[in-house]
Amino acid sequence: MRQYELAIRIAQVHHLVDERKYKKALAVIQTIDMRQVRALSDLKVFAEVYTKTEQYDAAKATYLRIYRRSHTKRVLYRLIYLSIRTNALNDAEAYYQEFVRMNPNARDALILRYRIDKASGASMDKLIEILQELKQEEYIEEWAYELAKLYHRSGRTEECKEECEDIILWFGTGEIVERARILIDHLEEDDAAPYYDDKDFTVPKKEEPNPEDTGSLPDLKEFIREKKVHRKEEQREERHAEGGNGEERLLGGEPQSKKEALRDDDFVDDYVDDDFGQGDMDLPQKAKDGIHKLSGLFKLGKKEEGEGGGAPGKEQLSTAEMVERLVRTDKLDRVEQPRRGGDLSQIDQSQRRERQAGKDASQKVERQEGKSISRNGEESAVMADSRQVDGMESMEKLVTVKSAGTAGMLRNGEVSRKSGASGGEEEVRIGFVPHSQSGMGITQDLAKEIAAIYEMEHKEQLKEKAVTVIHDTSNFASNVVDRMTQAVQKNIGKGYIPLDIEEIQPQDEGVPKGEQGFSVGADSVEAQVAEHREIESEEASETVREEMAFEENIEPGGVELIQDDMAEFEGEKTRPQEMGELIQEGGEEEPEAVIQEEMREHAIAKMLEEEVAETQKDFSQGQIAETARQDSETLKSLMEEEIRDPELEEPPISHEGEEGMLEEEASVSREGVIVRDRARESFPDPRAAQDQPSGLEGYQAPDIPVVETEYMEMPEITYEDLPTTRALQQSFGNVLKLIAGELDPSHFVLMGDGSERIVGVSKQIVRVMKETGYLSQGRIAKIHAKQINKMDLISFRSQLKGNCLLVEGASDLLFPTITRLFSIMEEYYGDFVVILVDEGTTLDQLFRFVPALAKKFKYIIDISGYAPEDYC
Amino acid sequence: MRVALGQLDMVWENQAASLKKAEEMVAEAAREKCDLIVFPEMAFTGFSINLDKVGEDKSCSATKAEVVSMAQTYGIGIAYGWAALPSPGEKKGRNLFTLIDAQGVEVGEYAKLHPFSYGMEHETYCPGDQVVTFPYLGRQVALFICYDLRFPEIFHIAARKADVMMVIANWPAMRSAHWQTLLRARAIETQSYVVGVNCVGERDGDFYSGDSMAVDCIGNILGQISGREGVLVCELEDRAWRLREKFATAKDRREDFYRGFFR
Repeated sequence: MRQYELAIRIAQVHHLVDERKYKKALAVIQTIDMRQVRALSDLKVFAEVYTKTEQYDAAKATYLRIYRRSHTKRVLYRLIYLSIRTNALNDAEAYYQEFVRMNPNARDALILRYRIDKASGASMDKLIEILQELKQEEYIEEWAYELAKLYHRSGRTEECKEECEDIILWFGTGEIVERARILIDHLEEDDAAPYYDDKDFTVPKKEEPNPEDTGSLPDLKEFIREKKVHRKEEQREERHAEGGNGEERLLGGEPQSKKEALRDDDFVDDYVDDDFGQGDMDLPQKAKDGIHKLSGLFKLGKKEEGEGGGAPGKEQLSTAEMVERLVRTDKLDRVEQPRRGGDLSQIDQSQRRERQAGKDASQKVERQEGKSISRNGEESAVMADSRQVDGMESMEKLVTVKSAGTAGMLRNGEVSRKSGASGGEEEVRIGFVPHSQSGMGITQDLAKEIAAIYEMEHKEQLKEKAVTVIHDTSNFASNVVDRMTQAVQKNIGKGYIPLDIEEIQPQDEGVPKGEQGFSVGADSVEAQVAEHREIESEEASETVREEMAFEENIEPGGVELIQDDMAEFEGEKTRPQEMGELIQEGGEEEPEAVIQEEMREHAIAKMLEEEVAETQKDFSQGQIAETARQDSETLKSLMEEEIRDPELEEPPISHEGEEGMLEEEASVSREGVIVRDRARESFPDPRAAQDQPSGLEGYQAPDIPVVETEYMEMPEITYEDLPTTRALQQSFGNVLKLIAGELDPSHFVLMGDGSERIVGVSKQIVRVMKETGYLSQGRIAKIHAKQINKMDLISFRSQLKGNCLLVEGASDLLFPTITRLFSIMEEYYGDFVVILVDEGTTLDQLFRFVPALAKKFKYIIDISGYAPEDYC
Repeated sequence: MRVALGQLDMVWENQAASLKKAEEMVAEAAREKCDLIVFPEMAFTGFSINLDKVGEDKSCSATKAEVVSMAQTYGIGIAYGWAALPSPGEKKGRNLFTLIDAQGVEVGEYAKLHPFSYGMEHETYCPGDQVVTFPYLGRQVALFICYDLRFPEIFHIAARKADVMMVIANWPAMRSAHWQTLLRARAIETQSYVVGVNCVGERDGDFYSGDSMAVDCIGNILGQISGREGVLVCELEDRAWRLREKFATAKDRREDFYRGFFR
C-alpha cells in the first residue's frame, strides 16, 4: 500500500470512529498493513476499534505495541481491562503490578484492584474493603452505590443504609440517588422480597450501536468526496462567520481550540474514562449519567486532621478536572441537570429557544425573546404543554412546574436545565453532493470549473502583459533580459557539480581508494569537474560539461541531467555515466569512467534485487509483475542519455561567456529519446546482473533519517490549497503562453506518463521559463522520487539553482524530501523550477497529504493527451 | 418544605393588576399543596424609585392586606417584595421582603441591606440594618433582596442559623448569568438551600428573563424557569444541616482573619 493510500485509509478509520461506525472501521483496518502504521494516535484509534468490535486479542496486541513505545499508565489501564475481558487474569495482575509501580493515583489503583479481584472471585469482604478504601480516597457516586449493594448482599444492613444516605446527601439528585432511596425504603420496610439491582453503574452505559454501521468496507472515494463536501461546508461557514461581528468570531473560536486540545490528547497519563465492562463511553454520555466525583470528602481520622482545609481544596481541583474532562465536548454541566433520562426528542424547538433566551447574555436577544413572550402568552402556554419531560417518577415529586393555569399563564412547563442542555444539541447532517471522481480525481473535477475561467484568464493575462509593454518603459520583457543577463554573468566560470558528488566527498576522506568501490570513480569525476571548471574559466563560451558522479546514498540511475545548452557535443564520445545520467557530456572516455560503469551495473543489479524483494512484501503477485516491469523501464530510462530538442538546437540566447544551447548527436530511440549506444551496451541485463557480485557489497548505506509518521494524519486541504488546474486539458501551446505570461515564477505538475512526453514537455516549459528570465541556466535534472528521497538534497542545492528539477513518481516523495524541496524552492525563488510527474490520482493523494506542497504549484498539466508535435 | 416560585410578569407600577395575576399563581401553588409561594422584589409594582406611586405605609399597606387575605384564603404562605414609605423621621423608603404565613401572620420582614447604587436606588431607599433569619415550618429561613446576592458575607452570617435562603429580585436579563451563578455559589458556599425568584418581562425599558431557580445545599439546581411567567414548584429537603455536619466547611472559615481586612 502506498503511503498516501495508507494515510487516507487511516483518516477514514478516524472518520468512521468519529461516526461510531466501528465495524466499518474494522473492515478498513483489515485492509491496512498494520506494520506500516506507526503513529501512536492511529494505533490508539485502531485499538479502540478492536475493543469496540470485541476483537480483544487484537486490541491487546495493539495496546502492547503502543506500550512498547509509550510506557503510560493509560495504556496499562487498557491492557488490564482487556486482560480481564479476555479472562487473562494473570496478565491483568502482571499489568497491574506494573501499573502500581508507575505510581498511579490511589483511586485508579483501587478501582483496578477491585476489578481484578472481582473477576477472580474474591470474597465479598475483600471487595468491600477495597471500596471502603476507595471511599476514603475519593467519593464517587457509582462506586458508593456499588459499596452499598455489597453491604446489602453481605447482610450489613446498617452500613448499607448509611451508605445510601450518604449518597443522597452528597449527590442530591440523579438515578443513583433515586436507587439509593429505593434501597433505603426497601431496608426500612423490611421487605421480604430480596432487593436486586442488576444495573452496574460502575461501567459506562453501552453505546447504542449505529444502525449504519453495517460492517461492510466503505468506499474510499466516497470518503474523499465526503471530506471535500464537508470541507466546503466548513469553508462556507467560515466565510459566513467572517462576515459576522467580531464577538461572534471570538465566540466561535473557542470550540476550535477545544477541538485542537482534544486532538492533542494522545496518550497522556490520563485515563479518566473508565470503560471497564462495556467499552468506551463518550464523555457527554458519562456526564448525563451523572457520574459525580468528589475528591477527599471522606478523608477521615488523622488524614482529615492532617490535611485540614486541603480536603475541600482537593475536591475543587478534582471536580474541576472531572467537569473539564466530562463536559469538554458539549459543556454539559451535570450539576445543572437535575433530571436524568430526559428524552431529547420531547423537547421542542420553542423550549430550546426560550431557554436560550434565558441564558443568552446578549441583551438584544433577550429583549426580542422577552417581547415575544409577553405578547404571545397563549402561544407560549400551548408550547409549554408539550414540555413534559419524561423522567423518573420519584423525581417528579421533587420538581414540577405549574403555571397559573389561566389566560396568559403557562401550564405544566417543567423546566430542566439538563434537558435543555442536552436537548439543545442538534444533529447536523451535511448534505452530500456526489460528483465525478473518475479519471484524474480532484484535479479533473476542477477542470470543468476552471475551463470556463481559462479563456478569460488567458485574455486577461495577455492584455495585462500588453499593457505593461506599452506603458512601462522598464517593462517586463526588458526585465527578463536584464535578469537573464545577470544570471548568465553570475554563472560565468561556475562549474556544474554533479548532484551527488559533494555528499560523497567527505565520506571518502580517509577511506582508502578502492575500499568502497566508489572512491576511484568519485575522484575521477572530481578531477573531471576540476578540469571542466578550468576550461570554463578560460573559455567562457565553451560549454560546461556536466557529470553525475556515483553517490553512495543514491541508487544508480537516480538522476538524469538533461542539458540543452551545450554548444559542443561529443555524443559519440560520451562515456557511460556513473549515477544519474548526463544527457550530454563532453570529453573522451576515461578509464575511471569504465570502472564506474561496472560498479554502476552492479549497483543497479543490487538495487533491482532489493526493490523486487521489497515489492514482494507489499504487493500481490500481479503488482510484483508490474513493479518488475517498471523496474525494467527504469533501467531503460537510465540508459536514456539525451533528449533531443529541435527547438533548442539553435542557441536562443547568445551572450559572451554564456552557456549556449547545445545540440548533440545521438541516436534516437523508438520513443524519440536519444540514447547513447555506448551506454546501452554498457548496461547488462539487470536480471543477469543479479548474479554478478555487486559493487555495493559490503557497503553500509548511511542511515536516512525517518520522520515519524505523525504527518500521516490526514491534513485538511482546501480547494484553494490545490494547484490550479488552469492548464488542465488545454493545448500545450496555450499552456506555454500562459506560463510565458506569468508574472510570478511557478512550479509545475505533469499528469501522465511516457518518458519522452514528460521530458519533451519539461524541456518546453524550461525553455519558456528561461526565456522569461525565471531560469538562469535551464538545465533539467531528472530523478525519481524514490531516489531523491535517499539523497541529502540540501547539500546539492547550489547545483539546482537556475535549473529545473524533474521528479518522476512524485507521489512517492517522502515528507522530509518535500521539506527539503521547499527550502530550496524558497532559497532559489525565481531561479529554480520543480516539475513533479506522476499519475493524476496519486498526485491528488500527494496534495491532500501535503497541502503545503500543493500550494507551491500553480500548474497541473495533463500531458497524457499530448502528441509529440505538441511539445517538439 | 414545598415551595412555589412565582415568576411574575408584574404590571408596571400597578399593584391591583399585578395582584390579580399573582392571585392566580397563589391558587395554582395552593393546588399543588405548596407551603409557600415566593414572589419577586417589589412584586406588584416592579422595581421603581417612584416611591410616591409605589410606596406604601408599613402600618397600613393595602398590598399587605391583600396578601394576607390571599394567604388565608388559599392556606399558603406568601413571601413578596414591596416598597415602604419612609418611616417618621426618615427621608428614604425601604425595599422590603415580607413573609406572611398561611394564617396571614407576618413571620419575617427584611429590609434590603445593599441598595443598588448603580441604579440610584440608594437615593430613594435606605439600607436595612440587619440580617433576618426566622424559623418557618421547621426550617430556618433567611431573606435577601436582589443586589444582596452579590455580597456573600451576609449569607455566611445568615447561614449560622438558616438553611433556607430566599432571594427575590428584579434582575435584568443582561446579567442573568450572574444571577444564576451567584445563586448556586451562595448555595454551595453556605451549604444551604437557595430559592431565587426573579421577575420576567419588560418594564421601564428593562428586560427580565426570570431564571428563577431553587438550588439544593450541594449546588444542584432543583428546578428553573426561564423566559416566561409561571410557577415552579420545588421540594426543599432537609439535608443541609447533615451535610454541614459531614462536610464541615464553615468550621474552616477564618473570620478573625477576614475581619482584619474589613476594618
